[in-house]
Amino acid sequence: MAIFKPHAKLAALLGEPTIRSEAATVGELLDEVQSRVSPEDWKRASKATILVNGRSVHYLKGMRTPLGADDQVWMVYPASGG
Amino acid sequence: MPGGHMNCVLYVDLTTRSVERKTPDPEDLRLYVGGRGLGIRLLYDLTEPGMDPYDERMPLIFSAGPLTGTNAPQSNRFVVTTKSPLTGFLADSHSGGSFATKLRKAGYDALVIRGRAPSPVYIQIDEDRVEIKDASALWGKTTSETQAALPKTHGMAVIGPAGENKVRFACIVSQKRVAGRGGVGAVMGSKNLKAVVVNGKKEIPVADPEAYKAMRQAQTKLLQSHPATGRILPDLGTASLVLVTAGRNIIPTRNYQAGQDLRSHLLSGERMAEEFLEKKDGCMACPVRCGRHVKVNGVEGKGPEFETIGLMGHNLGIFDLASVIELGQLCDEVGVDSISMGGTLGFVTELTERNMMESPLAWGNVEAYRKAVLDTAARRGLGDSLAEGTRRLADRYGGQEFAIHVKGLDLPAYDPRGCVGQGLEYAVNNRGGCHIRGATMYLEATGPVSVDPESPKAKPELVIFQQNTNAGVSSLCMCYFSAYVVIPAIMHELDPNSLVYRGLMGVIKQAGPLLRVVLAGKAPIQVLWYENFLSAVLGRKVTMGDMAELGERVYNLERLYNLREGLTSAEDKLPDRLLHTPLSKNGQRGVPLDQMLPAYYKVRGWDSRGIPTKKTITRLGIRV
Repeated sequence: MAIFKPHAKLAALLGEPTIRSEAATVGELLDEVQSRVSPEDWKRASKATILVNGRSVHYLKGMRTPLGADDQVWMVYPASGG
Repeated sequence: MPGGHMNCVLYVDLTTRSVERKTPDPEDLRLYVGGRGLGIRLLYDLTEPGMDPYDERMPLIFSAGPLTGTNAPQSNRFVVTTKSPLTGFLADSHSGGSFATKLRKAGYDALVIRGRAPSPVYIQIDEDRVEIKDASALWGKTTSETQAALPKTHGMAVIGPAGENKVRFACIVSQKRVAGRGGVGAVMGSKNLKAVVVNGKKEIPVADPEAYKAMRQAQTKLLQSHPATGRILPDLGTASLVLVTAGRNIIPTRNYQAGQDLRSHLLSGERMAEEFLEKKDGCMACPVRCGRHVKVNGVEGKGPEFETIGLMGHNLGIFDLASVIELGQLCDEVGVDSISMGGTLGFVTELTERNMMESPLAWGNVEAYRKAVLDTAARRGLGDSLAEGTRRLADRYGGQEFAIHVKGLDLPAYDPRGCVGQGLEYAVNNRGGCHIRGATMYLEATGPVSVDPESPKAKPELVIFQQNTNAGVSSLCMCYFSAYVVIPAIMHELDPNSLVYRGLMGVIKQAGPLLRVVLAGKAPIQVLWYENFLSAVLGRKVTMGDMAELGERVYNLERLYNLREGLTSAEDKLPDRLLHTPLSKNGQRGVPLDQMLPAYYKVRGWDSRGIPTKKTITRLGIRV
């Protein structure tokens, strides 16, 4: 079972900071998440970097990146500071 | 009329109780400008090779920049330069607060303190009046107690019990800001110097007031409107970094055994803002206000920076934000660098876990860690060993492969296995394992631009560009967060999943050769606020190329100082764990340092042993 960690704004919309999913790919997982928020909210919230175990999906297989047990998918915004 | 400098360096000798004022060499001011540059120039000139950090002749140098005190945004910072008792190499540590402005308004570009008082003292400077006063009643007091007992009209730089007891990573505190790294507080303590307080009302000369005023207004507006400094930092502070570093799997967790935790969100800037933030705080003359003032269990105080959350939270397995806030405040009160404190505690906890050392430390045990901080400051029991720092503990107990430091300085809260350019930067930085000498991770993993974090491509060039920029900015004594505004605001709005964004990152990844051309050139243009501000204040044209050259010159002189003190390229390295132990099953296999280091030396104009060539030294006009 994969684990999804949304950024803070999406977590507030979803009402929980951690979601567990049986999705087989990143795309499937995000479809599940998208179905739980309004299209307007998703449009804003989805403009974020998607990472699987710390690696951007762009360097993996994008939305087709397969998910296995305990894989972690994080959605993050850029930050500032040092 | 030329401006910027007060043209005076104040020398105080605590052994002889003598005070002297000297006019700095105008050529040194032209070449090194102020702050970090002036600090290393003075350190190099005032010390003999091999001088011990606790030798009473060792200077403790406070320096400010030519913009400091003019109200230029983000310019109110000072640098403390000396030799580090933690690394044995250069220590320069930077802080905000009001001290820098008051030092300048008292009439000084820098203050050099040498000698050792026979009993505790503090120095009070009121323009031309300089007094060495008895501090017996302040000895043993915390940093806030000490500051409360000193004149509130003055800028302050004080140490806590840790500095008095020469904890090798003791810091200097100025109001709520901290010159944290490298043990500058221990050198201050070795001089029996509890505090420096300074005040003055002198005018800072500005050569072109009209141009300066226009620049100040434009820069303030830019800082307030840019997403990095106008939204993210004011809203969330540096703790905005918690979620992105956890998502990137690079926030050090349990002594760098992991890069995040499913409870990371409990320590986020968003949570601090929601549940603990009372008001935003900031340095004098800074519109950003990234500092946090929080309330925990009815008690108000400073909120933690990201680094404290990383090292005193994740790295110790603590995910209760109230506890991390209190531990961060405790570090400031006793006067220890929270990064090195957290790094050392994490290392000893792992040694304990592996039965290589006996201690009461265990992941998540807040009470044990709280006691350990107090014991470290007092050098009591286990604390006496902790006070020596990670490198010396590893020499005694073993565990070199997971002793997370470079040149003895504990690494901050970015695991370089997920930002390999930052790994190179750690390995070669002149003050050891430090993130803010270039902050390459901002361009790889944490900011709005992400140049493939796990690829070594273009990283040597990027690191040099960042390091030179930082050395230049720090010589002006501007906050390095000002550099984040260089990245256009639109990058914060661009969808990172879009083809445009991905294409752009691909182009930057291939930009190594172009960056080499930029680094070799000396652009005769004025584009950024740094050169424009400096031109207006100094009354001579400063270009972007001049700023880059300033940074390169400062960086090379620092390297030459370290080489003089015994540095070899063998110390441009990373701990084995970060080189060879994978952090994630998707990658993060280790920093490919051997692929980057030779190119770094070459582009720097250093030989294969990491020594600046004669040609490089001559080109930069460095006096050795």
